[in-house]
Amino acid sequence: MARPSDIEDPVFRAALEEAERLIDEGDYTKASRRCAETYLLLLDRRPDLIPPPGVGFGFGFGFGGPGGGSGGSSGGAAGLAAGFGPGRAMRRGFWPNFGGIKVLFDEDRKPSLSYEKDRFSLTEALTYFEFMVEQVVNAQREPP
Amino acid sequence: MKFGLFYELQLPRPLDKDQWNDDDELRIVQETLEQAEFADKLGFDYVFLVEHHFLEEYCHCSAPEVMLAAMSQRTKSIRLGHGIVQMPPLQNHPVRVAERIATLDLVSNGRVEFGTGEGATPTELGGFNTRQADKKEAWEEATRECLRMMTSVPYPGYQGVHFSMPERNIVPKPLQKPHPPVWVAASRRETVMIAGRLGMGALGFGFETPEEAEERVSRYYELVRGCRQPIGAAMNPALVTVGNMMCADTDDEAIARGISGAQFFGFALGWTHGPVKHGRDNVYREFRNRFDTAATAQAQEQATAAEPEDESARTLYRAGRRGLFIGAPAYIRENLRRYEEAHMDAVLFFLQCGDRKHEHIMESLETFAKQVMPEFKERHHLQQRWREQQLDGVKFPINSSI
Repeated sequence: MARPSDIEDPVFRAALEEAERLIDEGDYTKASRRCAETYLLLLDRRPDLIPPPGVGFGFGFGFGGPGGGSGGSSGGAAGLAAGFGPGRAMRRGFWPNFGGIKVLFDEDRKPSLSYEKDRFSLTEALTYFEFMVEQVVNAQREPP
Repeated sequence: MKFGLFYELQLPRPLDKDQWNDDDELRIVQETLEQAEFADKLGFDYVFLVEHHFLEEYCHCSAPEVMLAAMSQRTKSIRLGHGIVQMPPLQNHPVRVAERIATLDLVSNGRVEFGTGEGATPTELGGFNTRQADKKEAWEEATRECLRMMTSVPYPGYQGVHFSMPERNIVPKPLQKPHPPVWVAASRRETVMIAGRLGMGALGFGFETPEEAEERVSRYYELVRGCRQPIGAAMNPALVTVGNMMCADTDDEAIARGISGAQFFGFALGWTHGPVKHGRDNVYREFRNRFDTAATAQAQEQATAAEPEDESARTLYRAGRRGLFIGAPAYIRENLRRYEEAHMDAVLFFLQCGDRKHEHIMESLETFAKQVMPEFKERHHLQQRWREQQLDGVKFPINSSI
């Protein structure tokens, strides 16, 4: 499980250490923003981590709900015997989509940030922080 | 390792009608109470009930406090869990939550597990005018204050962002002191870590594999040990995961009895996140139409060749599959041992889902309790000893049923 001390790149490490310090000081809004900016930096350096077009964030992903056409992620009759995947340790994650900060992509898949509110709480900041530490460490473990 | 049941109160609409029969909701409620009573007798440790609103067919458990109160009068030992209470104040005012939790704790002689969460989906949040962007902050504020209400005499009042109130003494107080064990719904890895930082149990709703669980355990306890300010007056260091279960004499029989329910669970969960037609969708009919078509089944198989990378999408994907607990006792036992080795404290099972039959659920409970559960209960003292070592040096009070 990733920890800030696992980050080798000095730029990312400094950015997330700053975010952690801001959390400790109670400045959750600045910490959240610092994490979001760091995510953009990560995507800039590692465009292979940008979600492919058409892939949304969160539960809407590829599932056969009302807007999901004939798709379905729950497996058909032929998938009866399937258990779960291997549960590998390192996965590409997508920015936590609970609405406070959105990551938008233009037609060229260039990402940008959209701040939906001005103030962030401890748990919001911690969510972004934990996500970013995990992503940066995973990225250094899995080169493009 | 401990074991529990997890209920949504799923109720598919009839295939041949647009609405339920008059007694369908009565049946599902009464069957659930009967199952909980039986689980208590068999030695299950927990029954957790969700709280969801407006999610037709997927979840008719919008008043779990009433169900849990009924269960408290029909059971003796099983612990009664909210999995979870939706804490944003527009959904439940913190005072009402504190009052209900305390009252349930009293009527059950101190058997309450206080799970907390935010609610999800535009259908649900929108029904209460809770903004998606506010829900996490609202959860944090309401949960912290709700726990203070259970311990403060008087509660000094609060001027917050999502609710404010003057000084009052909130009564009754819970039987468990300082308050019942407190949990947070943790569908994502990040939330498990937040649970550790806040001294809360993590109800892992992400259908984590044993390998993923193992990754999280050491970091979680590291964060628990480093916790400087628990969200409540007592910590509840505990890690739990969920899985869809049907236990029968053979794998084939378990799959035959259980897979459709699991698939409907995943399908309906996905459906809740879309633009539903309130009161007019027939989710079960849509599910059957898609899953009974061979071409569709083939297309689905191709579409699901690999697990989604996104964690939330992966939860959906796994929710509708056989997973690790639909099978004969040997299959389930083998998979549970992997979670045990990963130091998960408990596993909660979805049994009542989709079109599963009540009698199959009852048989499944009995088969599991007699053929799988005993060896894990016998070894639980080893997990408790390991957990005590992890908590060595923690300076805050702990109230936990693990």
